[in-house]
Amino acid sequence: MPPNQLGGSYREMISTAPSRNKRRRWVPLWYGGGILFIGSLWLFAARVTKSSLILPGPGETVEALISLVQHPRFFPALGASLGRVGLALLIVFPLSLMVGIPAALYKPFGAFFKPLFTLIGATPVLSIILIAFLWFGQERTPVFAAVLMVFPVLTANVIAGIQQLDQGLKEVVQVYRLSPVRSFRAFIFPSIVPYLLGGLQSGLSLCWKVVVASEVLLQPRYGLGTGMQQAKAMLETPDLFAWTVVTVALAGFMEACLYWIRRYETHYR
Amino acid sequence: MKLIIDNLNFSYTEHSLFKNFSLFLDDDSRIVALLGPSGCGKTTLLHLIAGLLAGQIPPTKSRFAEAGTNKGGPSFPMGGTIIFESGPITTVSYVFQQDRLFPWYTVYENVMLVVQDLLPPVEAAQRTRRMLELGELWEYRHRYPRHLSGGQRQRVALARAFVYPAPLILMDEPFQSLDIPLRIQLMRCIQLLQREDPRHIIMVTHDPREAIFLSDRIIVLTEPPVQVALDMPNVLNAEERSYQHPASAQLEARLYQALSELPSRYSPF
Repeated sequence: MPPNQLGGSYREMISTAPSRNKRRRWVPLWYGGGILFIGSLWLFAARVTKSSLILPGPGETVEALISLVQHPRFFPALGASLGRVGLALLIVFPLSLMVGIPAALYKPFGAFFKPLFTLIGATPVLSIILIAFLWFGQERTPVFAAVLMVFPVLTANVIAGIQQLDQGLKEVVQVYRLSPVRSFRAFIFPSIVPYLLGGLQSGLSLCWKVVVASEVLLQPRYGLGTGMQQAKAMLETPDLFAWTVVTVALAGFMEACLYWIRRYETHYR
Repeated sequence: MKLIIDNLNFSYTEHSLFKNFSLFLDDDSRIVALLGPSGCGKTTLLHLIAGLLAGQIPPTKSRFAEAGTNKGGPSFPMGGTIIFESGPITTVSYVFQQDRLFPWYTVYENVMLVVQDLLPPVEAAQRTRRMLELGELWEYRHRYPRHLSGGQRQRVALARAFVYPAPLILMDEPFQSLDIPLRIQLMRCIQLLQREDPRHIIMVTHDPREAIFLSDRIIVLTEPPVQVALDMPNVLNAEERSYQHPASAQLEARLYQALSELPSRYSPF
C-alpha cells in the first residue's frame, strides 16, 4: 500500500469523521431542495407555455390525478401493471439463477448462453415487443418482454456473484462434506444475494419501463400504458401527466421496498 | 487411528515440494506438532491429508467408509499414498489460519451447520451446545461473527472442528493472528475440548513454544523437498510446558537449534 493511501485512510478515520457526519445531516435538505427545484421549473415552464395541452402545470396534473383515481378503471389498471411487473420478476428470478449458476461454474455452458445475451442486448426493446405480440397477444407480451430484458441483467449479476465466491469458505464446505443442497443454502445462495439484489435494483426500473412501453404499444384491457395511450389519443395532456406520475410513484415505491430488503439483508455486517 | 504417509511425491512447479516423503502417525501420540520454516509445505501437507487440492479425489464418496473396510485415503496423481485408518468416519476436521466462519450465520448456526445433516437433530443440538459451552461461547450464540473479537471467532472455529465427529483434526497455525495471552487461552480451550472428546490432532506451527505447550510429539520438517529433520516425543508434563518454565525453555532452545541447522537458503536463524 502506498504511504499516501495509508495516510489518507488514517486521517479520514480520525479527523473527518465529525465533519462528515455534519455534512450527512444536510443531505435530506439538499434532496428536498432538488424536488423543489424540479417543481418550480415545471411551474415556471407551465406559466410560460400557458397551455394545458402542451404542458399542464402541477396544479392541473394533481386535479387530473384526483379525477383519475375516482375513475372505475384506475385501480384495475394499476393492479394489472403491478401484477405484470411482479409476475415478470417472479419468472426471471429463478430463471437467472438456473442459468447463471451453471454458466459461472461450467465455461461451456456460459459460452453457450453468451450469443443469446448478445442478441437480446442488441435487439431494440420495441421490436421485441412487436415480434412477441405476434406470438403472445396483447395481455401476455408485456410480461414476456420484461422477462427477456431483465434476464441478461440479473444473470450477469448471478455470474459475477458466483465468480466472487470466497475460496476459503469453499474449502470449509469441502472439508465438512456439506451436501450439494446444504452447500447451496448455506454458502452459494447467501454469497450471491447481494449481487442478486444489486441486479434487481437495475432490473426493476428496466422492468417498469418495458412493461409500460409494451402496454402503450399493445393496449391490453387494463394497464398504466393503456391509460397513457388513451389520454394521448384524446389530447388530454393533464391525464397523460397524471398516468406518468402514478407510474413514477409505483416504481419509486417498489424501489423503496427493495431498499428496505437490502437494509435487512446486510444486518449481519 | 493410523495415518500412514508413504513415499509421497508432490509439487506445484518443477521444484518438488515432497519427494519420497513418509510419515507414520498412530495412537501413541494424540497431538502431533509439525514444526518447520515458513513456506516449507506444511499447509500443503495438511491440504493433501484433507484431500483439498485440485485434482485430488476425496477420500471416499460418502462421509462413511464402506462397512468392513474402514479405510480411506485421497489419491495422488504424482505418486505415493496417504492411508487413513480409523473408525467408521473417514473425514477430517480442519482449523484454518483464519476463522473462516460464515458471516451470515450466527455463532450457533456456524457450529450447527457441520453436524445438522450428519447427526439426529437432538444429538446435533446437544453436541453444538456442549462445544459452545466448553469454548465459553454459549452466551454469544446469537451473535454474528462480525460482532466477535478475533479470539472468540477462532474459538468458534475450534468448536466447529470439535463438534464434527471426525477422528482427526488438522490445524494450520490456528493462533497466528492472535497475541500471546490469547494464544495461551486458545490452547487451553483446545485442551479442554480434547479432555471432553479426545481426537487426534495434527497441528502445524512455526512457533516451538506452541508445539511444546500442546503436543505429545514434535516433528521438525526441512525446507523442500521436505524431510523429517527431528522427530521426538514431548515428555514434559503439564506444568513444565508453560511458557516460563525452565524445562520448556530448554526444549525450546533445542528445537530452535534443530530449525537453525536446516540446510536452507531462507532460514532466518
